[in-house]
Amino acid sequence: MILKTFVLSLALNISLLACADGWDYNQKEFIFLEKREQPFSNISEEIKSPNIYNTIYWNYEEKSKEKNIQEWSIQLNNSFSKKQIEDFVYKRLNLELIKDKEIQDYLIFVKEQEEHVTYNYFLSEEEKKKLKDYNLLLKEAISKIEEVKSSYLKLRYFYLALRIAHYKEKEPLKIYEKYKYLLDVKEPTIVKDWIQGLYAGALVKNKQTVAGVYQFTKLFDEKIINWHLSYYNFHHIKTNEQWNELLKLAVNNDEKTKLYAIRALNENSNILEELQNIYAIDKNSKWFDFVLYRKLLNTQHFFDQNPQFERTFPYKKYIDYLKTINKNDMYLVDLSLAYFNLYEKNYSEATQILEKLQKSHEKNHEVQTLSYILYLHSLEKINSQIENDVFEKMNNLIKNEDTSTSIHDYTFVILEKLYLKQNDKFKAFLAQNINYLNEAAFDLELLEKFKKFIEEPKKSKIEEHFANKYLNQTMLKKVDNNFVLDEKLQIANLKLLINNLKFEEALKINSSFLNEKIQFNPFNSSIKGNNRNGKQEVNTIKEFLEKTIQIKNELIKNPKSAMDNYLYANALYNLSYFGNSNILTTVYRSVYSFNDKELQKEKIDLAINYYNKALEEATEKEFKAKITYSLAKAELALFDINYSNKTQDYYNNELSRYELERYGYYDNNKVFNKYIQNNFGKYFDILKKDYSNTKYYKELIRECANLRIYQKQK
Amino acid sequence: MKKTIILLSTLFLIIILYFNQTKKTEPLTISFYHWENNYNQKDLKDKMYIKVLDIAYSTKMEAISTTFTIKPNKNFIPTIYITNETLKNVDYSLISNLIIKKLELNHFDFDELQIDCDWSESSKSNYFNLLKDLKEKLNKTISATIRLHQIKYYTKTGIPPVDYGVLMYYNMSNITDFDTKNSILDNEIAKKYHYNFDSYPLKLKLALPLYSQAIQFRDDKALDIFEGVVKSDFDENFKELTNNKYEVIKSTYFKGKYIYKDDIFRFEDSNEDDIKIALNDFLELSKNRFNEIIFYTLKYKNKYNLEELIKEKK
Repeated sequence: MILKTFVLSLALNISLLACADGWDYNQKEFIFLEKREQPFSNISEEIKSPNIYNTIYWNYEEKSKEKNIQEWSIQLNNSFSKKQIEDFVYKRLNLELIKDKEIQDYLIFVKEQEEHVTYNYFLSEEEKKKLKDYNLLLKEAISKIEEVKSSYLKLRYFYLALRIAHYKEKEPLKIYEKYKYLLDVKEPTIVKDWIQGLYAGALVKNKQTVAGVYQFTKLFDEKIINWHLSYYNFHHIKTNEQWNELLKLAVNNDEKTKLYAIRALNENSNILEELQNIYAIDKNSKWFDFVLYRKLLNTQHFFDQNPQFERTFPYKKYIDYLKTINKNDMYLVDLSLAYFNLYEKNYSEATQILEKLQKSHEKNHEVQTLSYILYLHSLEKINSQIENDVFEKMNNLIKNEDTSTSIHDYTFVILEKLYLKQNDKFKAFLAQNINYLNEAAFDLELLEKFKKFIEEPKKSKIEEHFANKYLNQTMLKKVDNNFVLDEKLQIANLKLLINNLKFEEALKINSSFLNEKIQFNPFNSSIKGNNRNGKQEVNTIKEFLEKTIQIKNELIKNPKSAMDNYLYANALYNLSYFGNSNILTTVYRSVYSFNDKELQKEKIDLAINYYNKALEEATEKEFKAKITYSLAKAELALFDINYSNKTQDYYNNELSRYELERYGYYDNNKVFNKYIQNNFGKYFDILKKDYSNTKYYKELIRECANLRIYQKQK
Repeated sequence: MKKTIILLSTLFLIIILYFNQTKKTEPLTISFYHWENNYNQKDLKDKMYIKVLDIAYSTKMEAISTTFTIKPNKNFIPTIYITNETLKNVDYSLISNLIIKKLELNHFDFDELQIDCDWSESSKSNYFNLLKDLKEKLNKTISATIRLHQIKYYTKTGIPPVDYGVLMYYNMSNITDFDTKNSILDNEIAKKYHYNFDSYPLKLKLALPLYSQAIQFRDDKALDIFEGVVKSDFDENFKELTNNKYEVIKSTYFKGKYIYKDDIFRFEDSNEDDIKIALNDFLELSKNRFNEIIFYTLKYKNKYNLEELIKEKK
């Protein structure tokens, strides 16, 4: 139960606390270190987590297949394509194309025994019965080792025999001892790695645990195809006695220090102690750097911007320890010391170490990156000159390197902070959205600023970079060598103008979006709260805007026109969050919230105003009842706006978002009580008092749940 | 006539009191959870709640079924653990289909299904829909585990739509907090949640812990959990500190894992006295309850004399 959760979460090193979207607790946002060619070195996540294990294993399978095909290609005198070889070896197709009978037989044999030893076969009981007896297959494999002439096939039959014997527990170690002489071939082959893995596994299965683990550790080299097995079988060492026995098996200091290095791969290992252990045996051991590199890699969490997880590393302990180190190659020690001092904000010390590194490794990209990161952290202000300087330094570093994305993105993290420090919220917004500018992040004021920014000459390389990045994201396009808004932002602009009731300006926007049909009629009002009914897709946006402007002009000429006041009010209501055409005013419409409270309020206030004028001027009772009901709907919308809950907008954290209490709330009665207590509902009362004898009212009582709840609560 | 009425009323009262008394003196019964991934219990007479399925979510829904090498007793209650992440990410209908499919595959003969999930505000609706759906499709008794906070704050957390609840009276404080006294069972902490039992609408069974564990800390950060540890495990290579904490004085392999000098272990046990207090507190608090106590888990069955422990409790 809960215990299980904790067991899992702790056993998997709290990785289950990761977000649901797949983000891993151990994942680092920025990594500035170059890749190393050692097992597990470049994996910054916890290597025992199931997703990382699966990734490693799938990569192994892929590489293993690729290398196997390469070996077969050579064996088949490069006469077949990769695809053909894949078909021969993995699907046993077109084997007749292979002239060598021994090879043909071998490939058929692979299939027969494969069904016993791999889990990719889902066989029915019937099919299982038809399988060839594995004892016979084992015998056949052994006899083939002796019979076949090709040393290539001999080794492979040895592998097959060992595999089936291991899986079926048929004394694999005896087979290994008998045929291990076959491993004595000069040519490198993955078959030797596979055999080594099987041999190690067979020892463990035979209760020779320590010997088995020792053999597994021999795979701990990235040149060996199944290097992952070394660590994933290290857990068999469970006692001090086993560990000491394992150490005794190591034939030299390299092997001995490697054992400490593998043990240090455990996420809960004490790296400092394991470094001390290795250093005590051989201070120049490559495994010292291996362990230190992974620690340094792990500390790159320092650069994470996610404030949800606070990680505390005892950097000071590491600094104190690394200062005592004196070995032939001090590169990684110095690099680590520089980073740890940077984390501790000992900038002068970090710079001194950097200078030492720059002398000895002048053109080293990793050192140059460190220098750049230190430079970014030293910046206290930002201006065009500094922007140019930043751009030049950044640009020199991001040329198809593994760390390019981190260097680029982290630059804009720092720039955003500097802009905010100088209260330049606009540029902070640009920096924050450097890789993904979302059109929903804009309000009209911000978009106006943005338009001005892209149209004006750029003052720095960073400003040009902003524009170019948005160009790549098709937010901008170039016309006559000038940046202008591309379609997505044009549409956003048009919608923002409509939202701000700037209908004339909206009509001037050059966008094909104007010719799109509107789903519902924005001049329509019905009993349904959101007016989403009636004939669909009648008018285009352009036609709607033209008609709205026309009604507005009519109202200037004749302010007492009941119908024009009513239609204009309907349009305003329908453009609000509560109406049928809200989508004309917003890029993304949430079903339970909006981000433009003032504009929503303005539209509803205006709609109430125009409805009231219409009511004053209307003469026909049924029409008056209808207008009064529209007023009741608008008043309810006003209540929702006034009592909405403020949260942060998802697209732009400078904006607010407002969630409605009445929507999605399971007990709307409570909300209606609040509505009544706060003196809302007068139009519902008027409807009952003055229009209860109308047909419209009778229809309302049948269909309008809000009116019924209101009257019940009242 | 008056006399007859008085006589009949007195008789009626006596009968009521008698039955009430009889009901209260019904003895408590014991049952157990089985929470391993492999079930191989032979000749078991106890009433069992056996975890049959573990449903989790990482990038997709994943289920681990318990392997049954021995067929469980008839009338056992299959129990399914579902992580809250699953309910946050997967529609209830998919979870429900998976559960029904897995139950069918095992050909279990059962009358009741128990669901264990520490649901949250955001997963509540999906979880409750799942429970309703299971009830509708299986037409069996459905029970659900309830945490203490879910009773205290039931107006917020909601009441699962099930036939009854099992109050998990353990795991009540933050295991990763260095300053936690005993995350398994701390009756002082439990008291903070002793609210709303009188108005909580679900009838409850009580689940009590028997297990022990140790939490490994380094620099005050929780690193690992060691299950089934006993106090004597700390006799060697450890220095006893206060509050059930032990400091590693020499790096060593411990319970199959390598631990390092200066690491701190917090030993947590389900003490017999604490269990008795917990049981008393629950019996005092909950009037709408069953007489069954479920112990977590079967593997600690012989740790205490459980019959003795529940004796004379009403």
